[in-house]
Amino acid sequence: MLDQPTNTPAGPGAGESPLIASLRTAVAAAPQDIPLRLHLAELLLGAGSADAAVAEAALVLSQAPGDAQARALMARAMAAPVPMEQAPPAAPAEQQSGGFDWEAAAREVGDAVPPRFAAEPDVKEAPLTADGSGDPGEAPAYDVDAPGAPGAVRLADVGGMQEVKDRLEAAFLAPMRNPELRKLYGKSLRGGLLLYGPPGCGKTFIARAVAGELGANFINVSINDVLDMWVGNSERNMHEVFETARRQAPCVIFLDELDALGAKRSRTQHNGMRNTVNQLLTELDGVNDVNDGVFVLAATNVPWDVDIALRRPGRLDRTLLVLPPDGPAREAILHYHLRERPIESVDLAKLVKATDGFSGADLAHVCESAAESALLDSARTGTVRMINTRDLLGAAKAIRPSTEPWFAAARNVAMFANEGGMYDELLAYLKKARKL
Amino acid sequence: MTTAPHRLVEQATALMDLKRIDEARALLARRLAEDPTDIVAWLRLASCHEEVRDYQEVLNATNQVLALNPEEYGAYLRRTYAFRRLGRPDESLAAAHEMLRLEPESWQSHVGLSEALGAWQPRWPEALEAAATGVRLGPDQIAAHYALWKAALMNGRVDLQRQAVAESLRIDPHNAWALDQRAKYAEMDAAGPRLTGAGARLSAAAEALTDALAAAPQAPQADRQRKHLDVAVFRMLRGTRWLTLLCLVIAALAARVFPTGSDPTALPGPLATRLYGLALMSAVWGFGAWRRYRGLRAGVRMSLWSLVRRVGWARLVVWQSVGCTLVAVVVVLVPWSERTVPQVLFWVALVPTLLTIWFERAATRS
Repeated sequence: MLDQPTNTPAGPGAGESPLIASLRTAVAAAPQDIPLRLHLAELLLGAGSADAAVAEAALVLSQAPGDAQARALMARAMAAPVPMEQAPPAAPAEQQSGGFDWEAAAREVGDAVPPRFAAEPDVKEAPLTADGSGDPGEAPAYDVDAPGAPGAVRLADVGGMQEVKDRLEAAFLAPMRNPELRKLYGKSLRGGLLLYGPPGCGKTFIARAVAGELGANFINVSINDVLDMWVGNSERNMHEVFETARRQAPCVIFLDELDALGAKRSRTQHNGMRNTVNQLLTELDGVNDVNDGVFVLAATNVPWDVDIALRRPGRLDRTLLVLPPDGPAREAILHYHLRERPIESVDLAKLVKATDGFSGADLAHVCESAAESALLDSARTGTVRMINTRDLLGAAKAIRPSTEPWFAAARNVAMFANEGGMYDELLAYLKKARKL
Repeated sequence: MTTAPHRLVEQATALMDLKRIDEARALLARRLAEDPTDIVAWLRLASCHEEVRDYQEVLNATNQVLALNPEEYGAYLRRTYAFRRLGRPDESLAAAHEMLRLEPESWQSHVGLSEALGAWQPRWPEALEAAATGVRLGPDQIAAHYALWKAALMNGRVDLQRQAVAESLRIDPHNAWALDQRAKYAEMDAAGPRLTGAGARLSAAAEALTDALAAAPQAPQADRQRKHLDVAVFRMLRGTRWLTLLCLVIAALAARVFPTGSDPTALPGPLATRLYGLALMSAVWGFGAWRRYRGLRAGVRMSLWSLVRRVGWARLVVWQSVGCTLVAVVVVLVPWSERTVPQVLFWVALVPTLLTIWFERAATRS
């Protein structure tokens, strides 16, 4: 029953302050009083009873899942076994014998708050958001994000996806970073790269990371800006975006949803759209090296709907397939999504194996579903429990990768519309993954 | 006086072009909240509803238009199709007649009339006539050719159907509907019982299907097209067994496996004859399979290997072809001194293959 406060292993009342004891009585009398229970949890946390605080916060969450205060408290309580870490240095043996038994307390709390992961991962880097949820925001077309701005990301912030990083390095970043070599080989400081792949796999985030890596300014042309371009002075608007980038060079222009901005002209009835594509082609070509220092990155889920002229040499002539996150990336994404949830002994390796082919968004959904399952279970039994591996594996089993429909279409394109070898990379992947 | 559509309506139109119907509807709703008398916005909204097959809403939106302007051609156009889909043929025909009254020289009026007339079987010839008029008035409109194709289908005019598809592909070589139809006709051609040229027709059918798949990889019909492509490719693969049986017969004759000819007891067969037989077998495979395989498009070739990987029966066909050919090579190369072993090899290779061919044909007939 939810009404029953959960007893901690140490048992309520043992060594507790009178205030906490009286609050416990009050909470028992009014079990639905959320602020009162939260107050009790605060006091328990302050008194070093993290496990008891977790239990109380979990009870609050089972009654009010969206309660921000309870979530914050839960996160604080789960974050670290505070009493142990903040404990004074080990006292001499003679003092221990007469005073508080720190080791016994550590053992008790250690049991109450089990290790979060079965094997702690080596991931030291910041939690990645290679899941695509790390959206760059709704920056308008003419807002230029300066390099090193707060929140700037680098490729190192992208967990896993080593192949993508290597290809970016070879095709894009290395020539840009080595001006001497560039001069030697007569490589101009301009370029275009089209990122494509299933939705929710981090194309936008990678584009941002490339900009961060180049130390360049960043202009994000989003779908809303594109909509504005379609009507009225679409040509002038597009020209202004490129002019801004040229003035701010080195600068990366990121064209999100290129299938909208650069839709096949033969398929569009709308004059404004056709004019926009024409202007984009003109701007990409440039004259007299005006585009030196302007890099155009574009992303799309449906490269086959992009006007073929945009992919000709000198324009978006390099393509990069961004696949669903690989093992290390999935591990990091899961780590990120579980960071503020009450979990115990989660076997990440097993979970990573069970989520092959999942996009970042799917992984977030898995964590959400597992949390929901644990919450419902707690509400049903009246005993608060942590999210465990079984919840997560069950959720992973119940969810089908959202990338499957994309691969079904992509397979048709790779097999039957691969003129010029544009989809060779995709074809190689499909062969390797036995999806042909 | 015509005024330019409002900015939001323009944006919604662009979104509709990109099939982002929900976003387009949201923009139009915003615009109509601002100005409920914007006829263009109402008409675009009706188109959005039509796109998602919400025909009752199409009628509601066009009611608003007709309340503002009872002579609005676009409203009757949308209503003709909406009434037809809702199973209200009389009202559909009345709307089509209104269209004709307002714009008698518009191809859309005649195409709409054809659509409305399609509700009554006795009037299908009239529908065909109306569609033909629509094509005459709008020769570069795929929608007009589509109407003609549909009316021709109802009237059993295959020649006109094929003509409409060919014309549509002339206008837009990547039109998904026309490519799909062309693939169907190619399949029909390949399915006939004619004995000669089956391989070429199968290749044509497979290639037409790959064209259709490349043009619309995400279309709802893509799954069906993939299945049909598998069937075409399987039939091509199946054809290799006839080549292998031919090789087996050549080998048997060259190696004198059966006592025929003027000197039936002379064994082994002359080396030159056996080498000649081997050369003939190579020619059969070279021209009958390898050359044809090399001439296939990359997509069809990949489909073939994909089928072999996915379907056990296709693997069986491959193994039978390979096995029979190997037996033929052994029979023709080894200088047999007696007939028992090559005869056993011959029958062991021949009988299961023939049985499998018979079984497949029986299964196809049933």
